[in-house]
Amino acid sequence: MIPIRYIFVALLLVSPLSAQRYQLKDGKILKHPEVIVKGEFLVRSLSGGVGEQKTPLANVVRLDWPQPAEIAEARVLLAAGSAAEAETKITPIYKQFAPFSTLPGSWWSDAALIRARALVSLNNNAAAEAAAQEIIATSTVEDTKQSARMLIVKLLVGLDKKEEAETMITEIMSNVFSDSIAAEAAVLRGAMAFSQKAFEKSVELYLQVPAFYSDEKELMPAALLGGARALRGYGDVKRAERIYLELIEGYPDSGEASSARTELTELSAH
Amino acid sequence: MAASPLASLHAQEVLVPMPQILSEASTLIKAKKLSDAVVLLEVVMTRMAGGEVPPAGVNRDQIESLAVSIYFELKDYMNVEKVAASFLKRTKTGALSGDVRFNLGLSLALQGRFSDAVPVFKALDDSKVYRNRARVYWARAAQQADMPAEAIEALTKILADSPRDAEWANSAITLISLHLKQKNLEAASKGLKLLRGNLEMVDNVAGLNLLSLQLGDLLLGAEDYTGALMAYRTVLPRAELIRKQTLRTDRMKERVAKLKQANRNSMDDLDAIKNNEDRIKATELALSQIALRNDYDATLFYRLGHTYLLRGGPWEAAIIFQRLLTEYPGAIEREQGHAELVRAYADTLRLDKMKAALNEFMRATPTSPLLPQTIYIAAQAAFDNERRDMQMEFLDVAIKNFPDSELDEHMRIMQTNGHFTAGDYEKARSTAGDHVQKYPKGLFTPDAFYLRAMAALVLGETQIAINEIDAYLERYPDGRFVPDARFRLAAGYYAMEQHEKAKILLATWLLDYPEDHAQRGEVLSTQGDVFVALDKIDDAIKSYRAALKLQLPDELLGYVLDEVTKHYQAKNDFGSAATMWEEFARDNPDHPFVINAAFWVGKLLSREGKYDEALVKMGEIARRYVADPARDSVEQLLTQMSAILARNPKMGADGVRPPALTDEEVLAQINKELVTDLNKESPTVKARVLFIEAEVASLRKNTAKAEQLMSRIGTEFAPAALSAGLLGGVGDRLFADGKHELAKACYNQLVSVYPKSNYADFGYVGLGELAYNAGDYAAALTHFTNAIERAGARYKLQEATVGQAKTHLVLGHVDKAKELFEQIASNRAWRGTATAQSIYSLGEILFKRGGPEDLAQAQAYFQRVFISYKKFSPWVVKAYLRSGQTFEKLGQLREAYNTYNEMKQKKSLVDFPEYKTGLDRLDILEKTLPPEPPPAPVPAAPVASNQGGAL
Repeated sequence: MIPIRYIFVALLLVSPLSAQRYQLKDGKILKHPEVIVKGEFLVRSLSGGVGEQKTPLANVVRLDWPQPAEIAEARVLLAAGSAAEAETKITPIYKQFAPFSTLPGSWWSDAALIRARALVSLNNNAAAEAAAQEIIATSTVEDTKQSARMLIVKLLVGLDKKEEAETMITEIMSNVFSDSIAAEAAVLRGAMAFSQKAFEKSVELYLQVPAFYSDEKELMPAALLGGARALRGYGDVKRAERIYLELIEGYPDSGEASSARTELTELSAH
Repeated sequence: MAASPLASLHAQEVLVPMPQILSEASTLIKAKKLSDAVVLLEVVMTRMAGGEVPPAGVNRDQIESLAVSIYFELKDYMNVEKVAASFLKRTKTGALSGDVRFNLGLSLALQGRFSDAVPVFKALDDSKVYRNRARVYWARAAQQADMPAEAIEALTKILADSPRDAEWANSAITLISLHLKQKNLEAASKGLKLLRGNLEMVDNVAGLNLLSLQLGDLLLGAEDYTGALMAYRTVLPRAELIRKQTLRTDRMKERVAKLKQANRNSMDDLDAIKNNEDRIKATELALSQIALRNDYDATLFYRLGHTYLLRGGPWEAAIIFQRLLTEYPGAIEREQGHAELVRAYADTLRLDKMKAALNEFMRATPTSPLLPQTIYIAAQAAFDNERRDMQMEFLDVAIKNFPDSELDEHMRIMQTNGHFTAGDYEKARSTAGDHVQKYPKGLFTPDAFYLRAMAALVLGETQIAINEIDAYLERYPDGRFVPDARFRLAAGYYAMEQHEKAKILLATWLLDYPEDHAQRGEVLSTQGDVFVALDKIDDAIKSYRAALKLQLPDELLGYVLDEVTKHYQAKNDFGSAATMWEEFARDNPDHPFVINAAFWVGKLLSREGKYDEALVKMGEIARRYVADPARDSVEQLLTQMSAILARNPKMGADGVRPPALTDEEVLAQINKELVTDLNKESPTVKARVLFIEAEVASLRKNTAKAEQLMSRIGTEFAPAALSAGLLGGVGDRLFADGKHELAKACYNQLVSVYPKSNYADFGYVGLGELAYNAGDYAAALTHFTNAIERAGARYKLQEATVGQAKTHLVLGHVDKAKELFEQIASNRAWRGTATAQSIYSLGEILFKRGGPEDLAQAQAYFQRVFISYKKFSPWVVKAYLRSGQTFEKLGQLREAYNTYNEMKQKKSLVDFPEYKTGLDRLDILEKTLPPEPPPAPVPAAPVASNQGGAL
């Protein structure tokens, strides 16, 4: 058949980038798994097993790689409160991309951040801080670095070092920041206000997330649970119930939804 | 280009064999001589149509489909259509039919005949080869042909089956847009929800923003607040939109670069490049426009906040409006934002913030047409939350500043109601009068008219009230207040002591209104009062008892029961009174007055000398509630029982007085009447048993035992087990015993669990004293003030006032302290230690000022203490010392010596530290003063005549 010409602006489908490729300084492309990483080299086994062709990793300038499924899976596990499983799932990816942590197309930053978050959830504070510092020192993605700084803030909040935490948030927020960072800051400040029994302030901070940052789905369950608890503390039980329900309906599989169900039952009992 | 020899020879006429023609056609196609090739194919098609059999392996479908493809390539769309029609008439399925249809569809589209193209592409939905691409063209052609249903069908199929990538997301956006045009909001919402779960794939974030706003507006208009909120929440604020769109545009540019770099030149790649480039251009244009709109977010924030507010999310709404007003003070939405921020605060019951927001609104846009309604909402919220001061403040402002508002009349009646409810009847009359004058035929004029009359009645301006009620009845004979007006008229005549007139009006009322009228009980009660005034006590009792058969508010019920009891007692008919209370207790077993009933039954039976029966009947009722610490009137009953148990029996007919009950017998009787198997383990019951024992001991003047028993209650039982009455008494006992922590627990329990109890002032005063002793004067002042302002200081007004005065003094608020001490000193009912303390303190204030005049006046106060209040040793000894010191400061050393010497003679003062200090001064003066004859007594300085007197 004769090929079809382009005729008008169409919505043709573009094939997903399914290749797993390394781009070298000289423009050459090496495909995975034809080459594999061995030590400091990309190694290709020559046909017939007669030898190996080695390319130094330093020659790689870019990765053309689809997002590993483990990243999405680990995120789901983390959101569901299964931090240990999330860490197990993501660590091989974190290690796989470690040699290419600063290259465009690398998934290292994403994997490292998920791993660090899992460590925070596991209360493995020392490892979590080390992981966050590694991201801050290594990642080339500014959003990821800021998220890592926020993880350190979270650790400080957990250690009840509120002044240090607030100083660090202020410093982070003094630069250009994404909605994601603003939402994280609101959640952490909400938690600090709650611990000081400043419930009204806590509500106003937590509920910034649903009000302004509804795309921040990973943070939403924590924000809603915190908001509902702060509303209870403030004495607005009716609206606390509404937020609990919003959490349970919107994020039914999250760990926070599980807490919300328990707390809602307690509320109903009273 | 040279023509094919076969073509020029007119192959059809010469009848060149068909295989030869086909071979030549194939050669021409390979040589890209398509025009010549298609001429030969036409020859073949004609001959085959005429019945000539083609060579083996060749059929008509093949030839025609090839011709269609060549005509398409030659852009000869007429012939594409002609040959395709011939083909499709005969063959509708199979791989070749797919080729033909696809080329036909494209040909029709290229001719601008989109509506004809739609069914052609749609028919390809069965083709595995063409389905995906045909759906894209089907959707596109349908959009061009303005056939949205067809476009929606095509796009829905694309979304269902295609992999989720950037193109999928773009199709979703197109689909949502079409649903919006079709006003199919549910489907549009569904599409948006789906897309929200895949936002990472969206290239055209700016386009999605716009669609979300449109959808939100439509859903808001349809009052689907949840849907609208979901739509608005998809919209990104400007900075985030620019940030994300820039990233997405970079992603598209990268994609284009990769495709170009691949250099595959496939049509699919070319299409993808073109699509991405067009989208990049469109999004860059959108971004540049958005970048110019500084108030872009204000529009979004207003919509979001407004929708949250309507959906019952006032907390979120307040957060959003705060940001809107802070970041965009000049935005067009600011007035709405101010108004709705006030409402959001009102809805979250944050009234102080509501007030601040309202003030800011009035400051920022004082002439906003939204202000009257906003103030009205704020005033209503203040009223609902019992912030009358705030409500009145708002209404005053609104009425003054917006006299022409359509809500003016509403606010005026609210203002009058507010004044009336707050007991400010003068103002209520005034504002109601203004209302009637401004709106003679207004919506609420009858209400204002009536409230004005009622205010006069309450103010005691009875004749004016009667006149105005008469005027109301004449002007509004069918008004909603007529029954009340007729009753109040009678009450007015009663107040004017025109009892006969009142009697007639009440009788007429009772005839005119049904038996179940809500006010009937009140009318009967007033009829009873009128009969009493007319000295018709039996008629009065009859009316009161008729009233008791109806539903009465508790306050009136208590009044009527007390009145009937009083009149029965006056008639010495204790039995009828007791019976009435017994009936009440029987008919209203759960009423809070049941304990009062038991009290009266016991008291009345005691008056008849029926002590045992009284105890049994009181015990019967007390047992129901004795384990419940929340029933604090139980203590009143227990006190009555204690009085019976503690009494000395009267002499018998034989002239012998039976012995009083021993303590053991008292305890046995208490246990018999109050303790059951069910309640015997209750700590509250055990505490109350101790309380009766303490009361009995107290009545028998055994103070030590009484105090010891009260102390035991405090040490043996947790505060949670004690009633409000016990907490107050026990707390004070523990405080006196120096067990301050235990006392504090009692007081805290009292003010936190029973803040509305009659005994709450015990708690506040106790906490005040504890804080004062601990040096926390700010807290002490708060507690003493709460005792008066929150708890009404029913029992501890004196202690609370003294507490305030002494705390003000120690805080250096000298004027306030002086004012309070003067009040205390001049209160004859409080004469005693508080007076001594106050007079001493007034002297102390002057002593500290230290001027000669001040010292002279201070001296008068100190001397008055040890001359007139000798019983109150702690103050007497302080006064002696200060008096001596005052003389010393004035240089009157001999007088000082005499004062200390006089103190030395008072043996009741020896244990006080001031006594020792005084003696030290005496020693020093003895050594320094020359001996001389005893001086004349020191005359007291004049003292203000209104302050106290000798005991």
